[in-house]
Amino acid sequence: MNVAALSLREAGYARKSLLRDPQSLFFTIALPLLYLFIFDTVFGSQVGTVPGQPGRMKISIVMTASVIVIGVVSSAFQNLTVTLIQDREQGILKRLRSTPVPTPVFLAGHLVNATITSVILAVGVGVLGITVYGVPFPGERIGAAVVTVLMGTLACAGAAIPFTRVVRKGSAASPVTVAVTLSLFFLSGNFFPGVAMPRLMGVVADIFPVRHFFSAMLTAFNPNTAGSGFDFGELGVLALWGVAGAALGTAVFRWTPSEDR
Amino acid sequence: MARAAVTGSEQVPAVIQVQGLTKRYGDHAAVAGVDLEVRAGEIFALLGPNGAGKTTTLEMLEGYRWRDGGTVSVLGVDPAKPTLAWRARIGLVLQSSTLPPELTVTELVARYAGYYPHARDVAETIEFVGLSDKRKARAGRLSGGQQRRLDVALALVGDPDLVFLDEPTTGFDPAARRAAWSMIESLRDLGKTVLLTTHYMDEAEELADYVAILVGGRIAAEGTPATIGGRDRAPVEISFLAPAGFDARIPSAGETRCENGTVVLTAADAGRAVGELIDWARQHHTDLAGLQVTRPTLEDVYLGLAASP
Repeated sequence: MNVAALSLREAGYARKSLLRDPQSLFFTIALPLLYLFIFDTVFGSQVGTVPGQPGRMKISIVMTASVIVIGVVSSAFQNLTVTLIQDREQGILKRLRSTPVPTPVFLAGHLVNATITSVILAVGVGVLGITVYGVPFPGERIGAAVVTVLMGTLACAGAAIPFTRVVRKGSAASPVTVAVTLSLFFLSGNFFPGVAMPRLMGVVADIFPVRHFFSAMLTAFNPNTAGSGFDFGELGVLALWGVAGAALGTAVFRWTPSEDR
Repeated sequence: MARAAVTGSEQVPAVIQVQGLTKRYGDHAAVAGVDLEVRAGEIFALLGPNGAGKTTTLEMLEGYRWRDGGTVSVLGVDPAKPTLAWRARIGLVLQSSTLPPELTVTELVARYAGYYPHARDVAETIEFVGLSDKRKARAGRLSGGQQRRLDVALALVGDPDLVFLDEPTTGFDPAARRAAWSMIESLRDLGKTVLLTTHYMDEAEELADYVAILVGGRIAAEGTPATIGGRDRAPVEISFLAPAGFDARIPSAGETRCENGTVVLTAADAGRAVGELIDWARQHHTDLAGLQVTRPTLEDVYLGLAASP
């Protein structure tokens, strides 16, 4: 079997494992939808400006873009990190390591699975925003929205793989990743539509991919955006995170929890 | 150390060669200079008490752990520098590992089969481990013994030349152990080389062509199950129920003692002692009720070695 076919097959097995595990499925899919419901109920009818974005827009547009970002982070960073750390601690990865499966193939399978989940989530959130909360369809910017979701997934998965080396214990995986992502959502303004964040917070947020992702997503959804909606600067940062993270992560990836290997 | 040629057969090539293998954790040497040679087509049992260094040794040969010293060759490759082609020739069952609980038996075996260049048939492999009626069950819903058998199927589906089994029957009930034994024996019929660890004497005696006893990180004895520790040359014990009026005097080559109504005779030359005993029984018209002739069991050898540090 060639590398691409083997990676897709791995993705299929990762997918089956996810779909048959109700708890991960709930946290990955239901939670972002819950955020969308709460945010839009609270802020949805207001209109305001967002720093760095042209014109005024309904806050429900901001919230929809924000929750798409939250969904992708939940699938491609949080779920991927927790799955890999727990599988490593339980010895599932150690068992796999006895086979001749190449590390990049195994990880690519997980990346493909995370991408599928991210796209499903983004479409779900987008459709809900448009049909229920009156968000205008991005129109000619839809291509930019799709590319942004894909680049955001790549960045999150790229960050997730080396992050599995930071957290050692399976029991710590979920709390630590939730703490990291919640902090980044706050820093990146995902929970405060239209509020100008303190400068220092902005500087810190700019190091990580979430704010760049959110900003690019909002550019694609903002009806006042001129042109095709591609925010190449932000997308470049996401690409850098994805490629650098995947390369570093593959190099340092560990199949066993012990110090040996 | 090089093993002597098997009598009456040609020298069989070594699949695993280990010299001076060591592994330290801090000041403690978990493996303290192990030499091993495993030959093609044999079942080699590494026997030893818990904590003797069996799993550490095995995991260094499997490429999971770094060694601190010694030279190792497994299928001609140093496991410290494992390659994918090398992994394709090895199948293994870890002492404890989990399989993805959400995937079914068939899905898992097919998944593993896809990793190997010359995989065995999936359904046939499942049949071989006796899980055909569970092929649609998720791994998480199998019993402990069934999960272990699934693990063996995953070890075999790549059609490996060499199979590592780390305590393959620990926690099995007697029937499941027998089934596992016949499965392991059929691996020999398939021409596989098997290196297994166990702390069960009967398992080593039943399965192994060659046994090494590991105690405190060192090989304390090695040989075939019949000869290890000089079992075949050790003094025999001949015992029988003492006849009425027995006065503890038998003209024999051995030492005689009487314990709780049983006469025990220890002799270096079994043939001569038995002959003399039968002559004596004829003269005294006694039927030697409860007669037994025993040599030290593998367990006696093992316990003798495991007790001495």
